Amino acid sequence: MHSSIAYSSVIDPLLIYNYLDKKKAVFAYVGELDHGIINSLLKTMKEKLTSWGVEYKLMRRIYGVLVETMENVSRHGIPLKRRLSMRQSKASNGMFMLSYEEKGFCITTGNYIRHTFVEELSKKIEHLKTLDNSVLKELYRKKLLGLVPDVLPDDPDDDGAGVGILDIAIKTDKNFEHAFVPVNNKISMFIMNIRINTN
Amino acid sequence: MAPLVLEQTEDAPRVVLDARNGVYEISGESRPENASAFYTPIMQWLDNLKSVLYWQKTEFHKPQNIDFSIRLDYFNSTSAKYIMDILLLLEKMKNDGQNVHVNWHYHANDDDMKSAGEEYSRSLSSLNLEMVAIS
Repeated sequence: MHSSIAYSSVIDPLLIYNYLDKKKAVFAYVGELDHGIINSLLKTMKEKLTSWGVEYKLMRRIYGVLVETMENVSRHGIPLKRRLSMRQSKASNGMFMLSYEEKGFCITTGNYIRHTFVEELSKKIEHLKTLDNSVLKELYRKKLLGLVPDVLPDDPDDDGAGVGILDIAIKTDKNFEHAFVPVNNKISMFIMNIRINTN
Repeated sequence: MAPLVLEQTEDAPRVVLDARNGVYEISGESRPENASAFYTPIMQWLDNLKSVLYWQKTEFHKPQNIDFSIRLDYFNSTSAKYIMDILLLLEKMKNDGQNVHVNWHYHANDDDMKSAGEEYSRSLSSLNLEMVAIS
């Protein structure tokens, strides 16, 4: 290896690069996600999707899922103590990745949540996945009319009240997977893989 | 009534509510950071309009025309609840005897936006949304 820096400080970025490349990632982000950052990322994503010539219907669907997933991370995720920052940020920490697949695109998101939310959130997502799209649409409609309780666990900071996850389920015909990976005795990482196919 | 005009931003739609000139329109993209703060003045303005028109109709027995256009490229799920509230309020105005028409504009290739308009229409018992495809 021809380099002026130590091998050990190169290997991690190389692993990250190779992983993203293998996953056919076209955009990836890790860090704080607040409304301002979401605005910047969405602007970039909109320009990218347009420049790639993605068909309008697919582009709008990807855009819609990106908004809902980023807002979910921003609203439901929890901030982590900053190691390098002089201030304590209130913004949620998370990651998202848009990757290309044979049938369309995949959006991967990850955010930290407290263990206390895991069981209820998992149950509700599993339940949503058993419902037909027509039932999901009816549930969404009733949710907008305030006729059904929240889909996600109560969160006083969330005025979206869980319709975001319903919207994602409808737009993708429930084509998503989720997992909770324990990080320590208090928090887990909530991971979603959402597929948006061309047809 | 003084018109309510909100210019479009990167996350909030342009809103024009102008009773004098008969222009009622919401256009652009809706995903404001604080949807409640954004939509509350709109709801208040429309609620005020409802009261004024109701009084006028009672006094002069003349219904007013309200042609409301919704031309959104995208709205997030939080905004969806407020759009429902606006439509329910417009439906109440129609039930008061006003001539209320709502045009739901959507991109001809955007099935999701068309479907959203149809779902809203299903939630309203006396107000139909006119679906208008644009290319």
